[in-house]
Order: sequence, then C-alpha cells, then structure tokens
Amino acid sequence: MIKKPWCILLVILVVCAILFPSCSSSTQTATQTTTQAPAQTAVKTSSLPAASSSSAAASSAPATTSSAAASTTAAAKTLQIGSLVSLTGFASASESLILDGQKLFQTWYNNQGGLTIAGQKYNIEIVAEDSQSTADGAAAAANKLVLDNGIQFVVGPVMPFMTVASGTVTEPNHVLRVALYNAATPEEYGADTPYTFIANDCSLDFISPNMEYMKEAYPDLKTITVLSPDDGGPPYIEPVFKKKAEEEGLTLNEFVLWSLEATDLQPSVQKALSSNPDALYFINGWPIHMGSMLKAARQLGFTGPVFACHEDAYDIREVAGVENSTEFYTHNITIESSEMTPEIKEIIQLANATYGKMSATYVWGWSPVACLMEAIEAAQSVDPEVVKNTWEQMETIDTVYGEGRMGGLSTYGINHNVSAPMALTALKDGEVVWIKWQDVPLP
Amino acid sequence: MGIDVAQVAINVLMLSSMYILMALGFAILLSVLGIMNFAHSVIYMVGGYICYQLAVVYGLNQWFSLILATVIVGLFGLFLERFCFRPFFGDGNRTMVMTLAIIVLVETIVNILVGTQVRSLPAFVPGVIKGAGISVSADRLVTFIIGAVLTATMILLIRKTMIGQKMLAISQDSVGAALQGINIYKISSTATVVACALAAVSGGLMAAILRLSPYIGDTMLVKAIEIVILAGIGSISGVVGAGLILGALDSCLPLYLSGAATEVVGLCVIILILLFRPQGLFGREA
Amino acid sequence: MLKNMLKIDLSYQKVKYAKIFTGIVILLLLFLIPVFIHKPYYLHIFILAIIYIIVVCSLRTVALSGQVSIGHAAFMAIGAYASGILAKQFGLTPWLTIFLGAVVSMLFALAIGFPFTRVRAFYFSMVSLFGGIAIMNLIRVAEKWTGATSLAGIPPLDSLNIPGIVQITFSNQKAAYYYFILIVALLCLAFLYSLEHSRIGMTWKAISQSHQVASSVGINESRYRVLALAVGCFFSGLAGACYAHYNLVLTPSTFGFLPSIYLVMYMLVGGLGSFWGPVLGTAIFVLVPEIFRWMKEYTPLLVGGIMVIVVFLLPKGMVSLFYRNEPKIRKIHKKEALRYDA
Repeated sequence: MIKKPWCILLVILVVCAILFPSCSSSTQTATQTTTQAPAQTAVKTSSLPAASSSSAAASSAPATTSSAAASTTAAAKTLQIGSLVSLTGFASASESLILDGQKLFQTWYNNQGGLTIAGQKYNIEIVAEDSQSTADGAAAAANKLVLDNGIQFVVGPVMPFMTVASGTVTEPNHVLRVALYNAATPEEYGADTPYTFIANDCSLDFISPNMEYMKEAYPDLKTITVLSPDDGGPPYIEPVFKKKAEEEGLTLNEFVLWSLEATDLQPSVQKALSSNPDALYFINGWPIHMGSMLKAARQLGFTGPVFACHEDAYDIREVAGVENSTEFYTHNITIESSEMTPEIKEIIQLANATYGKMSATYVWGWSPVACLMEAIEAAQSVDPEVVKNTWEQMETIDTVYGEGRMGGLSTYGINHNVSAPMALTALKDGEVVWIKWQDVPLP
Repeated sequence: MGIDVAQVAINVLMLSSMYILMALGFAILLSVLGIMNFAHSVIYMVGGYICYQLAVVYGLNQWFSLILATVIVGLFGLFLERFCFRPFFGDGNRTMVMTLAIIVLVETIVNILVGTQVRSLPAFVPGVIKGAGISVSADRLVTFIIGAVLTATMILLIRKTMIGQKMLAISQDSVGAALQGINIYKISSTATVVACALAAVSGGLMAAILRLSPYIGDTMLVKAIEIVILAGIGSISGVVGAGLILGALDSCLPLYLSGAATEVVGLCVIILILLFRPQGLFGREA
Repeated sequence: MLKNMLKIDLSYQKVKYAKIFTGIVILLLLFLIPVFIHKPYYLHIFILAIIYIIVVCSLRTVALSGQVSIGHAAFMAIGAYASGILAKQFGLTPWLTIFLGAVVSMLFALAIGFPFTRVRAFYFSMVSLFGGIAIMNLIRVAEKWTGATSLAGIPPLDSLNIPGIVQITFSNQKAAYYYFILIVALLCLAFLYSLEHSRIGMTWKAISQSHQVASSVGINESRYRVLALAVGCFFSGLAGACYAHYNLVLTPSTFGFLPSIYLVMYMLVGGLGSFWGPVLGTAIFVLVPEIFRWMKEYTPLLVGGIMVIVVFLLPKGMVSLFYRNEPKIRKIHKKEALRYDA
C-alpha cells in the first residue's frame, strides 16, 4: 500500500492497540522515589472481581524486577493502596500535601516491618492518581486505579462531588474506600455505599465540640451565622446544627452559602455579618477559601470569634494574613505544642527529616492510611470483604490522635465512621496557639 | 436588616475597580489587535507570583517589587507578541488555540513549582479604615485609587498621545492604518507590553486582597471577558461603565441570592444587552 | 524520502477506493477493540472519547453555518440532566430518556435560537459563551432537581432482553456500553455527514460565507441558522444523555466554561475544514492525557505542547496531514507579512 497518508492512521491505530496493554503495566514497576526500600517484586496480590474479564491478569505484561535480598526473610509482596488526590486544579494546593503525608506513612510503615499476615510479609505502596479537582477527573482516576491497576483499597477523595463520582466506580467493584471527609450528603456516604469508610472527623462531628467551647470561653455568645459552600451538604447539616444549637441554648441565625468558584468571597461574608452574629462558623472548604473569608470578616470590622472544622491553621494564617488571624478556632494539630501525641511528634520529626518542613495537613493525610492498615491487620487478610466486615465490627481503633471509636450508625445508617479525639487549635494575634484535646462524640 | 447602603456603595466601587483593573489590559488587546487574549488570566497570576517571590522570598519592599514585577511581565509581553501573536495575525482561530496552550502550559508549570504552598501577599497597606458606619480595608481603597489612576492614564493615552491615536487607527482598520505608514508591529508590541503590565499590576494587588494560587486566573478571566464584551470592542472608556455595572451586580445580588443565582442574573442581563446591542454598550457599530 | 512519497499523485478513483478501504478497516478495528483489549479501563477511555466525538462533530455542524458556539457543553448538560432527572425521578427507562434528553436540548436550542440570530459571527460566539455559563449556573440553582453539586443515582441502561436472541446487561459492563455508544456514534456521524453534504449543508456554507448574498438569493438566514443550532444541540444532548447513563453521576463543572472552550479547541486543532477533523482532534485530546496519566501533574504540559506544535506547523489542523496537494508543514522561517487569512 503506497497511499501513505491513510496508512499512517492505520499504523497509528494498530501500534496503539499493541502499546496500550504494555503501556499501563510497565508503569507499575516505577516505585515512588521517597520510599527507601529498593524495588519490590510488583506482584499483584489482588485479582479483579469476577465481573470483569478473566484475561486481565494475562494481558498485563508482567514486567517484574527481581528484588535483591532486600526484604528480611521471605520474599515480600507489595500491597498497593490507591490514593485519589487532586494534583492539578483548585484543590491541589492542599491535596498535594495530603499525598505527601501518605507517602511519609508508606516509608515509615515499611521501615517498621510492613504488614505481616500469616507469615507473608507485605510492603505497602501508595499509588496516586490525579483527580484534577473535578468529578470527571475523580471518576477517571478511580477507573484507572480500580480497573487498570486492579487495586482493592483506595484512600479516597475529600470533597463531596469527587467522593460521589469515584463511588460509581469503587462501590460496584467492591473496592474498600477510605474517604477523608464527608459533607453529610447521603449520596457520598451512607447505607448505599457499604464499601466506604470515613477516617477523619467530619462536618457533623465538630458541631458539638465547637459549641461546648463557645459556651466555655465566650459565655455571652448567643447567635451564630454559618458560612458553608454550596456543595449539597447544607440541607443535611442545617437541621443537625439547628438542633444542637437549641440544645446548647444558642441561636442559629442562618446558613449563608458561597460558591466554590467565586472570585471574591467578601459579599458572602458581608451577607453573613448583616445579621450581626456573635460568632461566625465556617463549614467546609479549603484554606484558600477559609483564609479569604477570615480576612474579609476582619476587614469588614467583625471582631467576634470564628470557628472552623478541620482546617490547617498555618495555611489559613498564610492566606488571611497575620494581622487578620485572630480569634479563629480550628480542629487541627499545633505543631509546636508539647501536648501532641507521641505518634504526631514522630510524624513531625519524619517530615522535617524527609521534606525539610512540616505541614499540619501531613497528619490529616497520614491518619486515614494508618487506620486502614490497622483494620487490615485486625482482619489478618487483604481481601476487602473480610477487612470491611472486621472493620465495621471493631469498637475501637488506634489513631495518631489517640484511641478512636467506630460509629455512625444512627446518623448515616452505617457504622463506618472513625471518631478520634481532635485537637482544638486557635489563631490568636497571628500566633498558632494550642487550646486542648476535645473528645468528638460518636455521630 | 443591617446592610448599610453606604457600605454597599463602597463595596460596589471597590469590586468594580478590581474588575476594571483586570479587564483593562484585556480590553486594550481586544480593541487594538482584535485578539481575544485568554492568556491574560495566566499573566495576571504570574504577575502576582513574581511579586510574591520578590517581596516575600527575597525581601524587597513590596511596592518596589510590584513595580519590578510589572516591568518583568511587561518585557515578557514583548516575547508574547513576537512569537505568539505575530505569526497568527488575522487568524483568530489559531490565536485562540495558542493562547489556550499558553494557559495550560503556564498554569501547569506554576503548579509544579509552587502549587502546594497556600499563600497570599501581605497587605500593601495594612489596616482597615472605618468611618461613618463604613469599613473598608485600606488595601482595597488603594487598589481603587491605583485602578482609577491607571484607567485615567490609559484613556488619556489613547485619546491624546500619538501612540494612542495609532492604536485607535489600527483598531478601526488595520490595513488602512498600515497604508498610512503606521508600523503595525511596533504598535502591537507596545499594546501587548502595556496589557501585560496592567495584568501584572492587577495580579499583584489582587494577590494581597484575595489570594494567590495557580488557578486564580480562571474565574477572573470570565469576568474580564464579560466586562470587555459588554463595553464593546474599540472602547476603552466603556470598560469603566461596564465594570461598574458588573461590580454592582456582583456586590448587591449575593446579599439576596445564593452564589449561582447571582451569576445567572448577571449573565442574563449581559446577554439581553448584547442581543439588542451586539457591539456592546459603548462599542463601535459592527 | 517521506516528502517524495507524500507527493505521489494518484488518480482520483484509486484515492477514493483507498479511502473506502481504510474506512472499512478502521471500522472493523473499532468493533474488534473489546475483543483485543480486555481491561475495562481502556474501554472507559474509548467510550468517553466517542461521546466527546459526537459532541464535537455536532459543534462543527453548528459552526458550518457560521456560528461558532463557545457554550456547546451547556447543551450537552441539558441533555444529560434532562435524561438523568427523567430516569431517576420519574422512573422512565433510560432507552427512552436518552432520546427525550436530546429532544429537550433541541427544544431549548430552538427557544433561544431565534433571538440569537440577531447576533453574528464573533458576537454570536460571545453570547453563546455567556449563555453556556448561565445555563451551567442555572443547573446549580435548580438544586431541588439537579442536586447542588452532583446528580447521583442515575440508573444505567436497562438490560436488553430479547428472549432467545440476545441478552445484554449494561450494569458495570464496559464492553456493552462500548458497543452501544459506538453504534450510536456511527449513526450520528453518518447522519451529520449526509446532512453536511446535502442541500441543507450547502445552504449553511453559503450563509457562513456571506449572509447578505445568501439572503439575496432567497435563503431565509435565521431559519437555517436555527436549524443548524437545533440539529447540533440535538446530537450534543444525545451524547450528554448517553454520558449521564454511563457515568451515573453528573456535576455542573463537567459542562462549564473551560470544557466548552476545550470543545472548540478540539475542533480547531483537529481541523475545521474537514468532517473528520473534529474526530481526530477529540480522539487525540481525550486519549493522550489518559494514556499519559502516569505523568501525574506533568500531563497538561504534553497537551499544551501538542497544541503549540499543531498551531505552528499545521495551520489547517491535524487533519491537514492527510490532505493531498496542499503544503503539509508550513515553513516557520518565512517572514510573515500582514495578511488576511480565512
């Protein structure tokens, strides 16, 4: 055939068809650079569920690298744990830090000897896929992890729309997913998502501790206005908030919704302040949003306390500016405090040694993977079904914040929440100040 | 209700000045060169990052670093015009693809280099000015003043100076202008440099007011396009009017409606105006 | 040597047969892909690519009449959400709601099409840009129906059960979806191709070249433009509805400002002059970032690089690689004089 232009297309198609299968499997041998353990034998310990084609195992070209006698006695297998993080897009500023925290955990865990089940040693490997801060990206990343890499444990997204999108892939394929957060919508997490667990404290969990502290430190505080992103959560969060406020004798003025894509959040803050509340409450969002809102609130003349959920106080101070960072309370660690648990102190040391700096978000990323490994160890199996059954029966679970409990049945209809003690940290006059540990009630 | 009319008016002025500053450079390029410069958002963001780098990391005086960032980005405008706009003169499609490519490339590079660090610039003029029941942050007031000065300068430049007149001539009929002996390339370089400099100034100021991240340009770009199209091609002074309208919509509507609804109302207003007057409020007849 | 081979000038008949032969081979390959490629992940990428190919081809149909709509993803959204809501809230079968979704999208286009004929060319693009963003925000506002950030729980396609002949389930079966979308796409593309080469298509091209001359010959410009918009939005809505029942969850940001611009870019980079341009452009831009996903946050650099290369070297789009008797790769060293190009 000498009609070259048309044949070029043909050739490209044929070449791609041949290259596709080998293209993906050859990436499995590229291990993360931060692990100190040398290249492992990339044997997939999990097989795809029966629904997918059985020749998947055959079509993935086994490009193995032989491991020198690096592991201790028996040849160690690798347990791949998927990670859905946004490496591009508006959420990437904070979610990349989550991934860094997870990589820290991977190094630490493998150095501690990894996982041992029935005499077989496993090293873990975090396989991250970019969810691009969009629902499409999360679904595509989940597709890649679950259907291409055959991964059966995924440490999942943070934001609700990404959780819902990736759930359409992980749930039908019975992949155990550990989400980092939830905004109380039933589509994200609930009785319909039996394979999803939540390993950090979430929107609903912080309401009581915050209100308790409000009454303790600000006895004259009566009215609260809430600022929440328009992400589907408010219809579910508002009734709970209202009820708890009434129980505590406080008044909820209103829920003001702001858009995740807004340029300037000042008009929304102004609307919130128009009802003259004694305190502001920020539910959900990243430091780029919360910091802007704190800055706007202070610049509009609001001097009352501002309460938040899980944000990193240091990043918020970066965005809001030192002069605006005052009377702000959040549930995240204070790096300099001596009241941190020994595990957190170890993370701080590791982070400084590996990255040269520490971010509170590293702990937030470390904790869910640590909880997952606890559950796997307790179940003594790498089958997600077994781990799921064991985990939901567990009453307590060790976390880096202290002893956590499993709960959530009454609120979400499913017993898959990890409730751990949370650190109340404040920004006072531009300084990050430790307040205390708070016990988070079971949802 | 507690919403002060005076406070709202001040907010409208502040927000409008932010939008106008951002849209000014975009308007110049669209009017003079007929180019829809999507890369404007990215230049705006890079201006903010360079200012941060100079002011915070290298420790220079913040005003000085703003000026320096403007100069640097302006020089980048020369490169932009020579290699990204000039090869595609007259072909709007290819220019659009090129500017989109610039957005993708620059955003990704900035994200790789500094993406994970959440930050904003320290305030240029810290403090809040309060009086007569109104409180406005000094930063926003300063931005307003700088925006007003720059807008006035631009309008004077276009109307009174030779270069401005040449730009007007090119925007009306580039072939005719060339026939009159106007060096199209020189004027287009000047226009691009000015547009990039304006983008950098607004980026630096906005980084102190709002925040700094590789993706701040995306939402601002939509606002800039709205303002410029509403004002009309060929009209720089119209940007002020359109900016005020959009600033008013974006300041007042969120007080009554939720976020998405304000966008809908704002856009419907703009679409209606465009349907009756496609060339924009102050633009030339097509 | 490659240049010499490219310059071979064969008779028209032979070229025509060569085109048909290649077309058949490509078709065969497309149908056989699920047989060779078993990993559902690759089928997922192909399904997405095919869905977007339908959308971009419908965008080109609209652009044929001189209206380059930079808000086309919004019509995809209308079809997707209409189909999703009808199937989820009202319990209709997805086979019906896909068609209904496309019809809703077409009705919407008809409704706004007539006022939009007042604006032409560049101004139409701007109005469509704002219209697209407005529609996306409208979807967010109507949260009672659409769920604020996501519409979840959309039912997948019902299984096809013809007793004795065929039984196909679609739940979690990528291969079934692949064949479904492939057949739908082939039908859509065949329809659009024949429309383009029919009298209506010629009328559109006449309008786009000069609406005054076209009107003077008696062509009702606004009717034909609205027809183009309606046809384009019908297929866009159809593709969106298929996407809804494949993805099972919808988010407004999938159809917003940037995706709309990317659709136009796929079309431009692929090549506006040929029917197959958008197909090629979309395929490249959907498949390449997925294939090179391992580059993590460096992947967009590759996409940007492709765009720059194509815009400099292939001014008429990637499809111009296959043009005969045209300068293939333009020289970039010549000093460009100011000129008006099409």
